[in-house]
Amino acid sequence: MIQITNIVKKFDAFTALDGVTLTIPTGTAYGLIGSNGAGKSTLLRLLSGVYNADGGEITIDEQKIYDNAATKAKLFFVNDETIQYHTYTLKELSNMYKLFYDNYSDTVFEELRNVLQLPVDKKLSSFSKGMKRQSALIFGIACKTEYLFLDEVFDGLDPTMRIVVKKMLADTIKTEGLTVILSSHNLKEIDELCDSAGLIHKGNLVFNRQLGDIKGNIHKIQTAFDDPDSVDLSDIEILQKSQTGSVIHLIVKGEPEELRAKINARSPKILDILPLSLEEVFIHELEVLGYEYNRNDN
Amino acid sequence: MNTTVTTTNNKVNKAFSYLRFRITEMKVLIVINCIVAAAGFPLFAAIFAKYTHMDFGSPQSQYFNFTLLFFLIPLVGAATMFMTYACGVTAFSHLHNKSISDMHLSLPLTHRQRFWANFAAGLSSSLVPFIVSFFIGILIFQIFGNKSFGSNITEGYEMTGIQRLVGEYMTNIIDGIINDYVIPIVFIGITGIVMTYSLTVFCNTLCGKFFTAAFFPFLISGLVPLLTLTTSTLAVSQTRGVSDIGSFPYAISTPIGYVLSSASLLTGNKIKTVYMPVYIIPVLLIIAIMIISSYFLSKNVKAENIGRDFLYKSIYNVQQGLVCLSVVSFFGLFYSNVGERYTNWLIILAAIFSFVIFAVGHIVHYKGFKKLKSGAIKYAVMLCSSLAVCVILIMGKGFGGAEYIPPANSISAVKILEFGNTDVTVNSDMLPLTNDDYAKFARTDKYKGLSIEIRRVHKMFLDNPDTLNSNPDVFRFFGSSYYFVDIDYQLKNGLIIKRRYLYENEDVDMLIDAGVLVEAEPFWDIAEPTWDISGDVPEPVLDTEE
Repeated sequence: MIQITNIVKKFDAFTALDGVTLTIPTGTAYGLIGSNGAGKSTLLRLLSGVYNADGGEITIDEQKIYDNAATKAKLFFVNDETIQYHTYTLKELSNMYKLFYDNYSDTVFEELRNVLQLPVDKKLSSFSKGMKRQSALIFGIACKTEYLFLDEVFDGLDPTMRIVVKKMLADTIKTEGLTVILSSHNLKEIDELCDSAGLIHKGNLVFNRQLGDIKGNIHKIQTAFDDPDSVDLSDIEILQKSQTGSVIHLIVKGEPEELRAKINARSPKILDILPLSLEEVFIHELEVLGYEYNRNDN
Repeated sequence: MNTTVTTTNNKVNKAFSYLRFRITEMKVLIVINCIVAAAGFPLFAAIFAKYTHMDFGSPQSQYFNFTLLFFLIPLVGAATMFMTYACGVTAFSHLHNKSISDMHLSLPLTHRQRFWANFAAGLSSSLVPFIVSFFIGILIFQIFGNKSFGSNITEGYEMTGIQRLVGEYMTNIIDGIINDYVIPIVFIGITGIVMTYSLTVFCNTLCGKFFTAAFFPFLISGLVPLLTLTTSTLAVSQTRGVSDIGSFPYAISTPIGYVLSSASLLTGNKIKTVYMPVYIIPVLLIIAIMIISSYFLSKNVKAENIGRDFLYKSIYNVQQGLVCLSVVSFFGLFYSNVGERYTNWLIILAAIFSFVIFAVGHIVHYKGFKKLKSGAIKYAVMLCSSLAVCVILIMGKGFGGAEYIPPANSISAVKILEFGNTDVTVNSDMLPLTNDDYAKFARTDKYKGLSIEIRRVHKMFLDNPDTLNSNPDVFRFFGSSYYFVDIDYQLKNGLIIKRRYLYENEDVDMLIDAGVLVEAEPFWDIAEPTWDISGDVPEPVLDTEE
């Protein structure tokens, strides 16, 4: 289990993570979402023992991670860079990782490499960005660690490869009981792979929920009234509102049935309640945060 | 118990795995190192071997070989040092290459395992080829070259001056090549490599970018000797008698200084100095300090600083401060020559030059004209501090060092040179520091009085100040007519203390009239046997050999 308690990480005057608390149970696929510079990569580096926290505590299986080789042996970190080890061939890297990870599987490596058709004897410097990403992921899986941290791992992959890699990852999560933390700007992958997700914004964890809860709790409503200006919707938690003539578009929080009942009580001419995609949830949550930020500034 | 052993083995295995991995990463450098090393001892040995069989009168003159050798020695030395530096930068590349740091730092290793594995990888990459080449060289020499020099010289062939000179030198080398030259060269080489490597690693644990990591060892190698020279010279600039601060601080503080100073000892009988504790212990101490500092510095590195100029913010300020102090103290050196009337000009020049260098550093560090206000304040503080340091050094008048006379029981040998032309020297061969016979000479019971007498004479010079240094208006930039008396001590710990007392004509006359030297008559009695080795005076072996 990953336990993050009130973690703080500062880069000079900039606070990248400000008191994040999070528990990720073993065997979970967890998605980290957030805008650029929100603190996702920082959190993954803290989890991988690359960074040391300035405050709070972060443990894996109740063991500290920083400068702890035993804990680090349980995890593999694929960062968002693509040029590391560019002087190596896959074969050389495979031999190298074998030295560090006791459960390293040549069979898995070969299987995955064959699926992705990556050349084993060519230097990584000759690989495309996507091939390097695939290589990194292959090693992440072949090392057979208990925890796998992936930072923007789908970045640079073509649509076909995205599907292949996604399937590869999904199969491993399912068969190996791997605990995965996946950060991505492409929320479709998180939507499809993860059980739960957390939104990080400006170093704070905005929410941390099961994906079903996230999507189920926010809705897009399209409704129309004879006199929309006179309709009072103050009992509904509205995240966003726009109006075109008599038609009102709302992004709201709440249970669908409850929302339907409340709006029906105002006798709408039309009423459609639709679930939001994770991407829409992400955008609207950030808009709300941006609104609050501006309001505080004013 | 078994679990503990297994865990320890596992830790060691992981560290060795990482070491293997890093050595593999450095294979290109290792190959280059092997080529450089092959151009060292093995090539020397091959040339020597051929040389012992050569025919001077033959058309294929060996002159080319000599030329090659004399170019090869410094060239191979410089190449070895450069490659060692390259190995140091590469071994700790994860500290200044952000794209690979994540992978290195997330591997299942502790800091200790990672540091020592990296350290060993870089050091072995440069040291092993050097040591192996030494053994190959010895092997070649033993197999092919173990013959007396010049055995095949053609009858009637007359060697040219240079051939004779080099030939004699070579003969000496061949005669005692291994013990007298090769071993010391290997010793200097190994120490030089370790020192160069340690300095590079130390600098790399401070720098977060390849540019700074590559540049900083050079900066330190230049700044430290310069600062040592300027500050120590300033410290004795207003003292009387301290004329030569010696090359000791320079020799022990940087790899370049160490290698050059040690290499200069290769001639004559001074080579054994490289083994002397007074020389090697400070060098080893500096190496140890650099390695230990590197360990703790790299342990406390914040990975987020990788990619910045420096891993520790304060290093930029230290660098700028040292540069500023170097420039200011350099101009301070002229103070004793130009006198107080030009002090303002010296300060202005020091300010201009230090500002230019500081500004360049600021612009490079901040990538443009940012933080100008704080930069200006910083510069002003550094300039004032540097000036203050220089003033303290000058006003300190050697901090009592100029009046120091070594205790009698610490003196191993002494030398007096009077007026710069008349030798009244006790053992003129004192410079070979390891001349055991010389040391024996001074320690012999019969000459115990020597130390006491020289101290007495020294004190007389201290008590009779000359007028030359006391007249600030005398502009002595290009020197003027004066006479001098040198007193050099060789201490039992190997250190040399040199004093020079300057006198104008009248002063010398005055001194002679005063009978200062005459008063030292017992000293002459003791000094005399050096020139007239007879009776029961112990005879220095070196003189006997000659």
